[in-house]
Amino acid sequence: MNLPVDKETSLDEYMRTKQFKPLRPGQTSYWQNYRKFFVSLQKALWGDAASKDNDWAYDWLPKLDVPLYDVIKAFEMMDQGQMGGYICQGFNPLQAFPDRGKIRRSLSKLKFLVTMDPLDTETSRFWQDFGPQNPAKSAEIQTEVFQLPTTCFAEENGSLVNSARWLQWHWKAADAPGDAKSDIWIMTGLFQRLRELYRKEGGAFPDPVLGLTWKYTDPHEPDPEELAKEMNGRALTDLVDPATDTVATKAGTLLDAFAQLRDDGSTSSGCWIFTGCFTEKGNQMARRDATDPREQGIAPNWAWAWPANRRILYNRASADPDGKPWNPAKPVISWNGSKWVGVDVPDYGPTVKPSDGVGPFIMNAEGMGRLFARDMMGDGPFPEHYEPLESPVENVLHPKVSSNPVARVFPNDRASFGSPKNFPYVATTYRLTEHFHYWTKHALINAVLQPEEFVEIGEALAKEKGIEQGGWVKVSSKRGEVICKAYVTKRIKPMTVDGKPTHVIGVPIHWGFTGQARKGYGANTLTPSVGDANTQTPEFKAFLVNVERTAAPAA
Amino acid sequence: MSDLQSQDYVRRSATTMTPPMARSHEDQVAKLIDVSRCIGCKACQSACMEWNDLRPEIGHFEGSYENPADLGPSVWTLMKFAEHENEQGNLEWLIRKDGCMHCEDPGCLKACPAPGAIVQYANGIVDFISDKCIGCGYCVKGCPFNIPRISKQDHKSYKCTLCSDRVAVGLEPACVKACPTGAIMFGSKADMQHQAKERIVELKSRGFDNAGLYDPQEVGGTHVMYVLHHADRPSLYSGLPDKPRISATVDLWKGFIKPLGLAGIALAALAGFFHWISAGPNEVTEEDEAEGERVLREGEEKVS
Repeated sequence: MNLPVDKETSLDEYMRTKQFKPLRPGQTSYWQNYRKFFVSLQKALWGDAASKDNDWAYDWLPKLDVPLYDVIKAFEMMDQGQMGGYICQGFNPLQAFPDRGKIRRSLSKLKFLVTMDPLDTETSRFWQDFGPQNPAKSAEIQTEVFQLPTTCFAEENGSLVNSARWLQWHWKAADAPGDAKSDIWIMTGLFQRLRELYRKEGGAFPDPVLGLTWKYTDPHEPDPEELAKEMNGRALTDLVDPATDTVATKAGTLLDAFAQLRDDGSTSSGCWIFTGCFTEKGNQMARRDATDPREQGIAPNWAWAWPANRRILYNRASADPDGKPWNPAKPVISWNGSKWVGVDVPDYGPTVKPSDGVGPFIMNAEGMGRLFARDMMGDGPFPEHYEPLESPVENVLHPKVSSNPVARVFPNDRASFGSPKNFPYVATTYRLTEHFHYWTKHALINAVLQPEEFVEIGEALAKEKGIEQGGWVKVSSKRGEVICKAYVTKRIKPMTVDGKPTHVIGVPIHWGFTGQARKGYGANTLTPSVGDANTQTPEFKAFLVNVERTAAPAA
Repeated sequence: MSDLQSQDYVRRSATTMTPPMARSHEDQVAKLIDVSRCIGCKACQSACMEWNDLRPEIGHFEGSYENPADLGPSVWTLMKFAEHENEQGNLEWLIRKDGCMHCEDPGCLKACPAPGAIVQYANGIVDFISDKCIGCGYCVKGCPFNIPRISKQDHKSYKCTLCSDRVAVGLEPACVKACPTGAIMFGSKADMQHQAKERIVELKSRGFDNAGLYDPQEVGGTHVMYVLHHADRPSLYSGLPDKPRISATVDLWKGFIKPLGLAGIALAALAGFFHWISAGPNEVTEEDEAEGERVLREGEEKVS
């Protein structure tokens, strides 16, 4: 579900663009249930205070005035002096985000910064002079920094969601060191104090904060299981099954499936796709039965997958129009004459006959998969080749529009793009198997396995530039420079781009100035700040640099 | 390692007799490293450090993916990376997990002069018994694979134990457990040879005509074996010996000088024995006694 934008001044206005009706007769178009999910969310947030009379407290939701307040936008606003405070939870933007110089500059303009992390992150120490790897002028920085140590996953109960959509419960294995507190404890403390201030001092609009439902056993540190149950959702009144006219679900019962959610205020659910994760049968995320009945990587009783414990989305498409599996050796679901059966939960009406012609892509209004996305892609509907914002060549297809015209670029960032004249080589960034992002450099063993920052340069370029194996180099972009050792490798060969040999430099990302590994500049010192037209993911992966041989830095 | 399995020895350094094995039969074990499945993630190195409580120093980048830079008293296994361009001009990144090969005929054990400092168990594992090690470094010279390293702290020699403590209680070595691609396997030597055979057929069918098993007979076979895509050229894999040999000095010591010395001692005893048989025992006569007394007296007079 989406946050409303400020043009959507009423619930009906908001719903108009959400509740997709079937485009062809008989199609599922599951988003026609949007209102049920939305009202159940409002009930989870505000309980009795969200009622039919106040449009389920629609007016209490914040409304966006721009399409997106993401991290690219946030740092631009800091840099422009439009954002004074930043709460940075489990995120290390000084390492992880492009154009490190801009990130440091932006953080320096804040009034306050709160960091919440189990690790001593670079972001928490952006203000400290660590030499060339973080040349901060502490005396000139007025940002007040609150560094709050948090528990890590092994020090608390909770669930982790992986990219296969499994919610896997985990159990606390050890007490947290020092003063570390759970994120829940910290966020709750913040909420309780803010609410107290609203209660005492009023303010422009205290209702959404004062009206928030907060019925936890410990109002200062809600139990993760209680929160999970709230996400799952409950019946708020007895739910009557219209078919039999009997009470199917008693008031207070945890719900089994999002199909039970209603738009009349009789159900609540903090996140409709999670309904079913914690039911009256217990914590489904804590299941640990690894049985894989068909030996095809589907273990239906291991943890719980959103939505509905469905392991493969749109699995109706695994069977032909008659309901027979396309690959009989690997059946996922099939039609047995009266219903859909198989190892997975059907992503389809469980008794909808194949002959009814309902398309398998039930979230789409037409029921079909899409080769071209009508109105969903920023640069659609047809695929097109664009060069990266920084590229050694012009787009041979259309030089006048070389790069994506709808990529999100702020004017200051555009000014810091380099040209191939000064930065003739292509660089890309990547991870190594020895490290996980910027976390494991804090772990001694991982630090031993890859202790120090380096870049990878092909033999041809190394020869041309007189760079020796393991010798020191300076890699620079328009935005900054990295001085480190070079690994001269056969693995990178010059590419022929538009008829010209083009050298590529590989920049592994893992080193910073905190932790156990040796100090590094960080690959994102070099990268440009560009938001992809659709995902808004920064364009880390292709940019221009120069490389020169240099002397070893003074020890 | 400490001496936990002394009843299972089949070989013991600097000892001609090994204790008889009172316990039941044990299978020969082996670790099989399928180099063609390795992704070079170093999870094995990490697991080795964790299990054996090894914490080498944080080093530097030294112009290679290899870290630490070499095996050491606290680096018992090390991924070695070689960039090889094949005949077709394609790049192959040959990554090999280096460490003790647990030779059936261990050069280190042969060379070791400290009784019981190096032992071989019935399952084939070659283990260093640290409290008996005298730090002489002969094992380093004796090893055909350049594996043992002497600690500067305690002057003892260290290398991979094949997790003999884990294996003794029915667990696989730590590196085997940690490997995410199944490139490291562990079991009876016969099973591992069988496993390797199947994999080699598969590799051959994929165009690696020279795929094969590295189980060098020069050292009587090893209890750590490799599946190599280029078994005809083991040295491509960061200098894995094409034909590992125990140094001639060790062979000279064990094969010639030591037996010669022992023979010398035996000969001297034998000569004495025959002298006793033929000439009888040395006896002191009355004249000898009187002569001795006289020499003693003259000495005393000179002093006074």
